[in-house]
Amino acid sequence: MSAPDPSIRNRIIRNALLSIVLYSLPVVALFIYLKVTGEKPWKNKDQKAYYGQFDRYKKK
Amino acid sequence: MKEIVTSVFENLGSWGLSVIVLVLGITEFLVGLYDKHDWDENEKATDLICYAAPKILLAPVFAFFTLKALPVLFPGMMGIFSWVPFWFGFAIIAVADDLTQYWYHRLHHEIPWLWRFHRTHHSASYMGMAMASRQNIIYTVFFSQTYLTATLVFLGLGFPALFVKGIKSLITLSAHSSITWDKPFYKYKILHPVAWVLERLISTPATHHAHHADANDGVGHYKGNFGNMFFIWDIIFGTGLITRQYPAGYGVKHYFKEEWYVQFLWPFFKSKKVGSELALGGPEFYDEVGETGGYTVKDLKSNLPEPALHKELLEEPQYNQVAV
Repeated sequence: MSAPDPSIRNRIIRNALLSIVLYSLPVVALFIYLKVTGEKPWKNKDQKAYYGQFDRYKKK
Repeated sequence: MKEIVTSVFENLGSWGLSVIVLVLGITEFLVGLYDKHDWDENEKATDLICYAAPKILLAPVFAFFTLKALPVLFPGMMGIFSWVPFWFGFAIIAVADDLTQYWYHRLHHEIPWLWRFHRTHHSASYMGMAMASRQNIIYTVFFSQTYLTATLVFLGLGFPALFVKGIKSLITLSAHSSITWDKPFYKYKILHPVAWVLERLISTPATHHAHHADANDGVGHYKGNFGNMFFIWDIIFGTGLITRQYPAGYGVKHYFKEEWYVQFLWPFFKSKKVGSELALGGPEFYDEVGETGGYTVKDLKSNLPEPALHKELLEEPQYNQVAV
């Protein structure tokens, strides 16, 4: 098994680090939204989860 | 209205996409888009088995993961994030799923030993619905974003996931289609601003066909354009190439027309085609100039078996000596 070229390896590492930021962006946006609006939707007990094709979860 | 849209996407996820693939595939076939390519029996068998078999073979694996493994891995956490507002859930799922697939895909191109698990998808010398699902079984089993998205559905993001999955499937299928729906956007000047946004945001036939090209020639760009639903990852990471043109040829340069069952089941089965990347002792990969990853030409010559034809000829009796 051969390793990738060092320049490719370095680019992978750099881009992977940037990806962590990208993954977190929607979550950060959600936190900012909740902070700004003061909403606390998790306190709404009527929320129902949707499982689609995995509907059998509900029966457990 | 919400019920109607939900119903559309529910049906899309259950049977709708299969119908779209079928209708698009028949259209491509009827307008002759496969005629000019070498779509022989071996290619047809590879396309068909890769499309059908995972649906049967892997359904129990995914069912086990979603119904049995997740409740054990995340006890008491089922549906805990169902309160997340729809559009935030949509963004979380879209980024988590598609960025993970971008990486899964990119690493199979950039890490030499992973290439052979993805090669089957690139060995087709044509684009279209026939080859859109063409993947080696191992590549499909370890499709990392499938497990990540299933986990997010378990945690309560099932509703936005339904829409992300539907939209993503439509984009990726249409990007593989040989029906180049994006052409009018490049042809008519008035549509150029739309094209500019579209080709940077999502995968189009032009950018994804370039990824399937058999050459890196300025239009073809098989060392990039890894995005599946979003092309924006390629823009951010500098792996994208936008030319608004379509490559002259598709496939891999060193294609030996490996047996359909080998393309689907490598490394459990090895190709009998000498010199193939899928053969026993074959190179990890050939790059565009014919050199091989991890192998020198000298290694190749010493490691590869003699061509079968040559061996047979050597074993033939010398007729001039046995003639009476």
